[in-house]
Amino acid sequence: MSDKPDFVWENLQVGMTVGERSLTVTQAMVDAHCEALGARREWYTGESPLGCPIAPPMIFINDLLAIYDANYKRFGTIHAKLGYRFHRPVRVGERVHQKVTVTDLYVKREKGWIVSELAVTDEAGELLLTSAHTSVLSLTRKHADDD
Amino acid sequence: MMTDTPLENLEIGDALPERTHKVDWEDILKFNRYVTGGVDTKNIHTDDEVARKAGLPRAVATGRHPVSFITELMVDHLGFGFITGGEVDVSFVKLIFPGDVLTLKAVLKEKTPGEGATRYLFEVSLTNQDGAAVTVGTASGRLA
Repeated sequence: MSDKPDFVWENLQVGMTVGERSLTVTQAMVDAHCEALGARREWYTGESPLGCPIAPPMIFINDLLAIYDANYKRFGTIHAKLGYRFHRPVRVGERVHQKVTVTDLYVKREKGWIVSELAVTDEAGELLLTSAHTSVLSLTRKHADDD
Repeated sequence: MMTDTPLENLEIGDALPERTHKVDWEDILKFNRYVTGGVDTKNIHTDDEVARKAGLPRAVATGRHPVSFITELMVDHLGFGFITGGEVDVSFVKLIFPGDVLTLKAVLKEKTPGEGATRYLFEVSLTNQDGAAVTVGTASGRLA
């Protein structure tokens, strides 16, 4: 039985950090991403303008949800909006730090909504990418059971 | 007008060549395995019954996966100017179902000269085989 809190309105607050983690972007991660999403380009496996392989822009497509799942019991998420800002490419082999925060919570048409942001930085703290996800959020555990 | 013209010569209202992507079951399962670390799981994207219990008519594709169709199109046309300083903002307006054939359109909306580079802003959309928009938004990047 998990002791993680439920991913519902009452357990979340605007401004809170949902979770953080550091990881190294490996060629295996890039290859798996390219295979799953059908994104093929020489830059992702060999020479790029940086002189080394770089990760596709959407390499962190699931990382925000993965950080939620590491910290909350989530019951599936319906996205309404998604936004990305690509500041600079991630080199294969580069170590990055990821942080997810809650930037907004609101009720619209009797549904709860959450806006979360993933920020990815390099080891020096330079911003590589931000992405904002707007998704439906159950207002209470009862609603979550109904989902 | 749809055109293969270099971006520098595009006029407002011109469109990049359209692309089509079929989202079949294998794509959905492959994406699911990717996000679960190689495990097959039953969820609203992979199982009709789970989807129905969640109030959906049947299993639906994730809206996130097709966003990469848009970003790869932008990399094709804007290159490093998308990966460094590019932006994409989309709304998911309709469900995508297994088997749907999505047409990706990108129409130039703004062209803003800046220091050493011009920012190109496109209105982007993915429409299904019935002509209904499933994903709409904008994507932009700079070209030196």
